Amino acid sequence: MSRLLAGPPLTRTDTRVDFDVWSTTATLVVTNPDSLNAALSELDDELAGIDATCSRFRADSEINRVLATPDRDVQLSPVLNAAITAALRIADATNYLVDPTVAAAVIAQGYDSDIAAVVARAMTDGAIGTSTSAGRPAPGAWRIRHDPTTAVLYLPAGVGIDLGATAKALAADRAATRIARATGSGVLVGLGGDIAVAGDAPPGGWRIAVAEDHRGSAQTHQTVSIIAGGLATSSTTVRRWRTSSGWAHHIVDPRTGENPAPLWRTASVAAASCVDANAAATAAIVLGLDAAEWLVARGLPALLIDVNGSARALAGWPASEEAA
Amino acid sequence: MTQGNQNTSGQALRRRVRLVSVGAVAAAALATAGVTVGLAHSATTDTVASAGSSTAVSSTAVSPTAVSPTAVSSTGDAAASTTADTGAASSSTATSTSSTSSLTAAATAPAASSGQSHASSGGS
Repeated sequence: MSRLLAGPPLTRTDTRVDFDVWSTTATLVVTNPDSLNAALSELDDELAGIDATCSRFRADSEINRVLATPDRDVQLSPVLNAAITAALRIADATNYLVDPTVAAAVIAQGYDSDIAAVVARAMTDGAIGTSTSAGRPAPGAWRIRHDPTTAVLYLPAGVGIDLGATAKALAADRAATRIARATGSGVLVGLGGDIAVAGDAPPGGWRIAVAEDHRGSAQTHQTVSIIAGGLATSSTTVRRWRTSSGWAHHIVDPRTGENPAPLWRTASVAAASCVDANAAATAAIVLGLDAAEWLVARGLPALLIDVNGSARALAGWPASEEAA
Repeated sequence: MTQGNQNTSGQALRRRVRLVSVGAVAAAALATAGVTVGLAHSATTDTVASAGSSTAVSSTAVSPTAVSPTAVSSTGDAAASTTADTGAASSSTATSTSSTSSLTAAATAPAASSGQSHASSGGS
């Protein structure tokens, strides 16, 4: 299997290493310095597995092979089975506000390749033309038949799948779990701001800077600590590009096939897993006005930043000067 | 007089019971018809959904005349629609089999912190 973290790291210390991957940054932190190399190997394995199975930007990925053979039962690999299981569970749990069948709408908006290539093309061309199918609702994940026990998937023709909303967070969860199990060290895995932790946390917990851009180039709203589970941020301020009909970003409302009405530009959520945190953050941006009630009803601590930059802390998220 | 009133009341009570029974039967019949219509809609417009069962996701059709772009789940959440902008008569909405599926909160909420952070969570 090809390695994704084979190149030189962006930074490396005794307990932390950062890499470029998937046009974003992978961060690995361990509490035991002796475990860093083993942890890095586990992380690399996990990312390579997710990439080979779930990436819609690789012609040879398993998901693209599945998409090319609709209307029949397909046996899935364990990794893709886990990814499909997670995506369908999230679709169900969010009442299809986060739905993998949004693929066609995302592509119609111009997000048809790695985000770095999309942004570069938009800059070169001035704007990306949107497809005539833009603005069509997602077919709906309930049309997909999947048995997670037998790992068999039946995908109807015309129903695409984009695992982008869950696969990165799933990779963080899976990597953190396997690293903790393999090394016994406490571990934090961050993939472009989707953070999962496992094992024993350091004293005071894992300290996480919450910002609009995981690269830290934007304002940090506050620093919070978690000791288990995951923390994720979704934002409309990144992964955006100019189209022939205005700016577009990567979050699409499955009900309309379009970017949601601009109310929250960034949502950060803490949950029992990174997958759940990421799904809740995305759902919050899609929901707009109803997001606060939705998050509180589920007891999901969250920080919402509106388009004017005002912050709102919910459901036990610690207040800060900005969020108070 | 009193006995007559009691008889009258008894007859009235029996009539009410009959009416309630008839009403219940009628409601059951309507519900059955509704289910039948729903299944027929499902069978004709969503063969995939009706072709088999799934332990992860199922498909249930609502009345073909439904026009609401949203549905309300058992938990009262706003649900997704597939036909919001088409105006099509067949507004299929989803009912998940796994109604217990939900996002899970962490056992411990995040706490305010300071100092050097281990990582950043931001848009990516």
